[in-house]
Amino acid sequence: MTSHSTLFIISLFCLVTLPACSIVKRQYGYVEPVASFTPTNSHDVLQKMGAPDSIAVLNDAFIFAYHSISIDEPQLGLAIPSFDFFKFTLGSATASHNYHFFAFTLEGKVINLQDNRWQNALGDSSAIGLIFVVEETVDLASFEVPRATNLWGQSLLLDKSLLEISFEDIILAKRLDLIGQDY
Amino acid sequence: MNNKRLCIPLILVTSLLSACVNYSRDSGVENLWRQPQAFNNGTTTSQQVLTALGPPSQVLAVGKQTVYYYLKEQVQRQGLILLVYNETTEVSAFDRAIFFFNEQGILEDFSYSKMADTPE
Repeated sequence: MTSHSTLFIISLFCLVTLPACSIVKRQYGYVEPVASFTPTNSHDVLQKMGAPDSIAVLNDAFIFAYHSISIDEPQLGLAIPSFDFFKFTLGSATASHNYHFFAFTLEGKVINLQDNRWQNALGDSSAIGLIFVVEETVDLASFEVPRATNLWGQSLLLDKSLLEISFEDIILAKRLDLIGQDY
Repeated sequence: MNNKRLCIPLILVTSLLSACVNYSRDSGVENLWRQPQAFNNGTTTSQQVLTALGPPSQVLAVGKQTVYYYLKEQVQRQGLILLVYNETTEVSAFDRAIFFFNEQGILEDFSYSKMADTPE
Protein backbone atom coordinates (compact mmCIF):
# COMPACT_ATOMS: atom_id res chain seq x y z
CA MET A 1 0.00 0.00 0.00
CA THR A 2 1.48 3.39 -0.97
CA SER A 3 1.67 6.37 1.38
CA HIS A 4 -0.96 8.14 -0.75
CA SER A 5 -3.37 5.29 -0.28
CA THR A 6 -2.77 5.24 3.45
CA LEU A 7 -3.37 8.99 3.74
CA PHE A 8 -6.49 8.64 1.61
CA ILE A 9 -7.93 5.95 3.86
CA ILE A 10 -7.10 7.81 7.08
CA SER A 11 -8.60 11.05 5.76
CA LEU A 12 -11.71 9.29 4.57
CA PHE A 13 -12.06 7.48 7.90
CA CYS A 14 -11.77 10.73 9.85
CA LEU A 15 -14.25 12.54 7.65
CA VAL A 16 -16.81 9.75 7.61
CA THR A 17 -16.68 8.43 11.17
CA LEU A 18 -15.59 11.35 13.31
CA PRO A 19 -17.37 14.50 12.21
CA ALA A 20 -17.24 17.37 14.62
CA CYS A 21 -15.63 16.13 17.79
CA SER A 22 -15.85 19.13 20.11
CA ILE A 23 -14.52 20.70 23.26
CA VAL A 24 -16.99 23.00 25.03
CA LYS A 25 -15.53 25.16 27.80
CA ARG A 26 -17.34 27.46 30.17
CA GLN A 27 -16.06 29.78 32.84
CA TYR A 28 -18.33 31.39 35.45
CA GLY A 29 -16.77 34.08 37.58
CA TYR A 30 -13.15 34.49 38.52
CA VAL A 31 -11.30 34.20 41.81
CA GLU A 32 -7.81 35.60 41.66
CA PRO A 33 -5.21 33.14 42.95
CA VAL A 34 -3.91 34.50 46.25
CA ALA A 35 -1.32 33.24 48.65
CA SER A 36 -2.70 32.06 51.97
CA PHE A 37 -3.33 35.02 54.27
CA THR A 38 -4.84 35.64 57.71
CA PRO A 39 -7.19 38.61 57.61
CA THR A 40 -8.36 40.25 60.81
CA ASN A 41 -11.27 42.19 59.38
CA SER A 42 -13.42 42.69 56.29
CA HIS A 43 -11.15 45.49 55.05
CA ASP A 44 -8.23 43.04 54.72
CA VAL A 45 -10.40 40.67 52.71
CA LEU A 46 -11.68 43.42 50.42
CA GLN A 47 -8.13 44.61 49.79
CA LYS A 48 -6.84 41.13 49.01
CA MET A 49 -9.80 39.49 47.26
CA GLY A 50 -11.75 42.42 45.86
CA ALA A 51 -15.53 42.81 45.98
CA PRO A 52 -17.20 39.49 46.89
CA ASP A 53 -19.32 37.45 44.52
CA SER A 54 -22.00 37.02 47.14
CA ILE A 55 -22.95 38.50 50.51
CA ALA A 56 -25.28 37.15 53.16
CA VAL A 57 -26.37 39.06 56.23
CA LEU A 58 -27.34 37.15 59.36
CA ASN A 59 -28.57 38.49 62.70
CA ASP A 60 -25.10 39.02 64.15
CA ALA A 61 -22.76 38.30 61.25
CA PHE A 62 -22.24 38.76 57.56
CA ILE A 63 -20.56 36.54 54.99
CA PHE A 64 -18.47 37.12 51.88
CA ALA A 65 -18.26 34.31 49.33
CA TYR A 66 -15.98 34.13 46.30
CA HIS A 67 -16.74 31.38 43.81
CA SER A 68 -15.62 30.50 40.31
CA ILE A 69 -16.57 27.48 38.20
CA SER A 70 -14.83 26.03 35.14
CA ILE A 71 -16.76 23.48 33.10
CA ASP A 72 -15.12 21.25 30.49
CA GLU A 73 -17.29 19.19 28.18
CA PRO A 74 -15.39 17.01 25.68
CA GLN A 75 -17.60 15.48 22.99
CA LEU A 76 -17.18 12.64 20.54
CA GLY A 77 -19.13 13.05 17.29
CA LEU A 78 -20.05 9.98 15.23
CA ALA A 79 -21.47 9.92 11.72
CA ILE A 80 -25.00 8.65 11.24
CA PRO A 81 -25.16 6.40 8.17
CA SER A 82 -27.45 7.76 5.42
CA PHE A 83 -27.76 11.15 7.13
CA ASP A 84 -24.81 13.08 5.74
CA PHE A 85 -25.25 16.33 7.64
CA PHE A 86 -26.15 14.87 11.01
CA LYS A 87 -24.01 13.46 13.78
CA PHE A 88 -24.54 11.55 16.99
CA THR A 89 -22.66 13.23 19.84
CA LEU A 90 -21.58 11.70 23.13
CA GLY A 91 -20.42 14.07 25.83
CA SER A 92 -19.67 14.41 29.50
CA ALA A 93 -19.02 17.49 31.61
CA THR A 94 -16.97 18.15 34.71
CA ALA A 95 -17.12 21.28 36.84
CA SER A 96 -14.13 22.55 38.81
CA HIS A 97 -14.98 24.84 41.72
CA ASN A 98 -12.85 27.37 43.56
CA TYR A 99 -14.58 28.69 46.69
CA HIS A 100 -13.52 31.10 49.44
CA PHE A 101 -15.72 31.80 52.46
CA PHE A 102 -15.30 34.54 55.08
CA ALA A 103 -17.61 35.25 58.02
CA PHE A 104 -17.47 38.51 60.00
CA THR A 105 -19.15 40.06 63.02
CA LEU A 106 -21.36 43.05 62.22
CA GLU A 107 -18.37 45.19 63.26
CA GLY A 108 -16.28 43.53 60.54
CA LYS A 109 -14.01 41.28 62.65
CA VAL A 110 -13.26 37.89 61.13
CA ILE A 111 -15.13 35.01 62.79
CA ASN A 112 -13.96 32.22 60.51
CA LEU A 113 -12.76 31.54 57.00
CA GLN A 114 -12.28 28.61 54.69
CA ASP A 115 -11.35 27.97 51.09
CA ASN A 116 -11.78 24.86 49.01
CA ARG A 117 -11.33 23.47 45.52
CA TRP A 118 -13.28 20.48 44.26
CA GLN A 119 -14.64 18.84 41.14
CA ASN A 120 -17.99 17.29 40.43
CA ALA A 121 -19.30 15.42 37.41
CA LEU A 122 -22.26 17.08 35.72
CA GLY A 123 -23.25 13.90 33.87
CA ASP A 124 -22.89 12.03 30.60
CA SER A 125 -25.35 12.43 27.78
CA SER A 126 -25.84 12.37 24.02
CA ALA A 127 -27.44 14.44 21.29
CA ILE A 128 -28.20 14.32 17.58
CA GLY A 129 -27.52 17.46 15.59
CA LEU A 130 -26.03 19.04 12.51
CA ILE A 131 -22.34 18.36 11.97
CA PHE A 132 -21.49 22.06 11.84
CA VAL A 133 -23.33 22.96 15.05
CA VAL A 134 -21.86 22.45 18.53
CA GLU A 135 -24.65 20.80 20.50
CA GLU A 136 -24.46 20.83 24.27
CA THR A 137 -25.04 17.33 25.57
CA VAL A 138 -25.25 18.24 29.28
CA ASP A 139 -27.98 20.47 30.67
CA LEU A 140 -26.30 23.54 32.14
CA ALA A 141 -29.48 25.62 32.48
CA SER A 142 -28.95 25.94 36.24
CA PHE A 143 -25.85 28.03 35.52
CA GLU A 144 -27.76 30.42 33.26
CA VAL A 145 -30.36 31.84 35.65
CA PRO A 146 -30.51 35.65 35.98
CA ARG A 147 -28.46 36.97 38.88
CA ALA A 148 -30.63 37.70 41.91
CA THR A 149 -28.83 41.02 42.38
CA ASN A 150 -29.96 42.20 38.96
CA LEU A 151 -33.56 41.34 39.87
CA TRP A 152 -33.44 42.97 43.30
CA GLY A 153 -34.84 46.35 42.27
CA GLN A 154 -37.59 44.64 40.32
CA SER A 155 -38.56 42.64 43.42
CA LEU A 156 -39.23 45.89 45.28
CA LEU A 157 -41.98 46.69 42.79
CA LEU A 158 -43.94 43.55 43.62
CA ASP A 159 -47.24 43.85 45.42
CA LYS A 160 -46.55 43.48 49.17
CA SER A 161 -49.54 41.23 49.63
CA LEU A 162 -48.23 38.83 46.99
CA LEU A 163 -44.66 38.69 48.23
CA GLU A 164 -43.33 35.42 49.59
CA ILE A 165 -40.44 37.32 51.19
CA SER A 166 -41.12 40.40 53.32
CA PHE A 167 -39.58 43.75 52.41
CA GLU A 168 -37.52 43.64 55.58
CA ASP A 169 -36.13 40.27 54.56
CA ILE A 170 -35.29 41.59 51.09
CA ILE A 171 -33.53 44.68 52.41
CA LEU A 172 -31.61 42.81 55.09
CA ALA A 173 -31.05 39.79 52.85
CA LYS A 174 -32.44 37.56 55.61
CA ARG A 175 -32.82 34.62 53.33
CA LEU A 176 -31.31 31.18 53.29
CA ASP A 177 -29.61 31.72 49.93
CA LEU A 178 -26.77 34.11 49.28
CA ILE A 179 -27.46 37.28 47.39
CA GLY A 180 -25.23 38.33 44.51
CA GLN A 181 -24.27 35.46 42.26
CA ASP A 182 -26.38 32.37 42.67
CA TYR A 183 -23.58 29.82 42.73
CA MET B 1 -4.26 6.96 -9.15
CA ASN B 2 -5.02 10.43 -10.50
CA ASN B 3 -8.45 10.29 -8.91
CA LYS B 4 -6.91 9.43 -5.56
CA ARG B 5 -4.48 12.34 -5.82
CA LEU B 6 -7.40 14.67 -6.35
CA CYS B 7 -9.43 13.12 -3.59
CA ILE B 8 -6.81 13.59 -0.88
CA PRO B 9 -6.54 17.39 -1.08
CA LEU B 10 -10.30 17.60 -1.60
CA ILE B 11 -10.92 15.64 1.60
CA LEU B 12 -8.38 17.69 3.52
CA VAL B 13 -9.84 20.97 2.32
CA THR B 14 -13.35 19.81 3.13
CA SER B 15 -12.22 18.61 6.57
CA LEU B 16 -10.66 21.93 7.38
CA LEU B 17 -13.49 24.13 6.16
CA SER B 18 -13.82 26.44 9.09
CA ALA B 19 -15.94 29.13 10.61
CA CYS B 20 -15.62 31.28 13.67
CA VAL B 21 -18.47 32.27 15.95
CA ASN B 22 -18.42 35.08 18.45
CA TYR B 23 -21.11 36.71 20.52
CA SER B 24 -21.36 38.67 23.72
CA ARG B 25 -24.06 40.06 25.95
CA ASP B 26 -24.16 42.27 29.03
CA SER B 27 -26.61 42.67 31.88
CA GLY B 28 -26.70 44.74 35.03
CA VAL B 29 -25.48 48.27 35.58
CA GLU B 30 -22.80 50.10 33.63
CA ASN B 31 -19.39 49.53 35.26
CA LEU B 32 -18.51 53.20 35.66
CA TRP B 33 -16.22 52.30 38.59
CA ARG B 34 -13.62 51.18 36.02
CA GLN B 35 -13.30 54.80 34.93
CA PRO B 36 -11.07 57.07 37.04
CA GLN B 37 -12.96 57.89 40.25
CA ALA B 38 -11.92 59.78 43.37
CA PHE B 39 -13.51 57.83 46.21
CA ASN B 40 -11.86 58.18 49.61
CA ASN B 41 -12.68 56.44 52.86
CA GLY B 42 -13.81 58.92 55.51
CA THR B 43 -14.73 61.75 53.15
CA THR B 44 -16.76 60.51 50.17
CA THR B 45 -20.51 60.52 50.77
CA SER B 46 -23.12 58.07 49.53
CA GLN B 47 -24.58 60.87 47.41
CA GLN B 48 -21.24 61.31 45.63
CA VAL B 49 -21.09 57.59 44.89
CA LEU B 50 -24.65 57.65 43.57
CA THR B 51 -23.87 60.65 41.39
CA ALA B 52 -20.75 58.98 39.98
CA LEU B 53 -22.07 55.45 39.48
CA GLY B 54 -25.84 55.73 39.40
CA PRO B 55 -28.28 53.58 41.38
CA PRO B 56 -26.73 50.38 42.79
CA SER B 57 -27.82 46.90 41.75
CA GLN B 58 -28.65 46.13 45.37
CA VAL B 59 -28.72 47.88 48.74
CA LEU B 60 -28.07 46.01 51.95
CA ALA B 61 -28.11 46.82 55.65
CA VAL B 62 -25.19 45.27 57.55
CA GLY B 63 -25.59 46.20 61.19
CA LYS B 64 -25.44 49.99 61.27
CA GLN B 65 -23.78 50.15 57.86
CA THR B 66 -25.42 50.53 54.49
CA VAL B 67 -23.92 48.62 51.58
CA TYR B 68 -24.21 49.56 47.92
CA TYR B 69 -23.50 46.59 45.64
CA TYR B 70 -22.99 47.07 41.90
CA LEU B 71 -22.93 44.13 39.47
CA LYS B 72 -22.39 43.89 35.75
CA GLU B 73 -22.44 40.49 34.04
CA GLN B 74 -20.52 40.14 30.79
CA VAL B 75 -20.82 36.93 28.76
CA GLN B 76 -18.56 36.31 25.80
CA ARG B 77 -18.52 33.21 23.63
CA GLN B 78 -15.97 32.35 20.99
CA GLY B 79 -15.90 29.28 18.84
CA LEU B 80 -13.94 27.62 16.08
CA ILE B 81 -16.04 25.35 13.87
CA LEU B 82 -14.28 22.80 11.69
CA LEU B 83 -15.88 19.74 10.20
CA VAL B 84 -13.76 17.30 12.18
CA TYR B 85 -13.18 19.39 15.30
CA ASN B 86 -14.99 22.22 17.09
CA GLU B 87 -14.07 24.24 20.13
CA THR B 88 -16.18 26.81 21.92
CA THR B 89 -15.34 28.82 25.02
CA GLU B 90 -17.87 30.85 26.98
CA VAL B 91 -16.66 33.18 29.72
CA SER B 92 -19.09 34.81 32.15
CA ALA B 93 -17.38 37.65 33.99
CA PHE B 94 -18.99 39.39 36.95
CA ASP B 95 -17.66 42.88 37.40
CA ARG B 96 -18.54 44.13 40.90
CA ALA B 97 -18.10 47.09 43.18
CA ILE B 98 -19.05 47.29 46.85
CA PHE B 99 -19.29 50.36 49.12
CA PHE B 100 -19.81 50.45 52.90
CA PHE B 101 -21.29 53.63 54.43
CA ASN B 102 -21.74 54.53 58.09
CA GLU B 103 -24.92 55.95 59.61
CA GLN B 104 -23.95 59.43 58.43
CA GLY B 105 -23.59 58.25 54.84
CA ILE B 106 -19.78 58.58 54.84
CA LEU B 107 -17.78 55.97 52.94
CA GLU B 108 -16.02 53.56 55.31
CA ASP B 109 -14.70 50.97 52.86
CA PHE B 110 -15.00 50.00 49.23
CA SER B 111 -13.59 47.54 46.75
CA TYR B 112 -13.83 46.40 43.13
CA SER B 113 -13.70 42.83 41.87
CA LYS B 114 -10.45 41.47 40.52
CA MET B 115 -10.71 40.81 36.80
CA ALA B 116 -9.03 37.97 34.91
CA ASP B 117 -6.77 38.74 31.99
CA THR B 118 -7.40 35.25 30.65
CA PRO B 119 -9.87 32.54 31.68
CA GLU B 120 -8.76 30.22 34.47
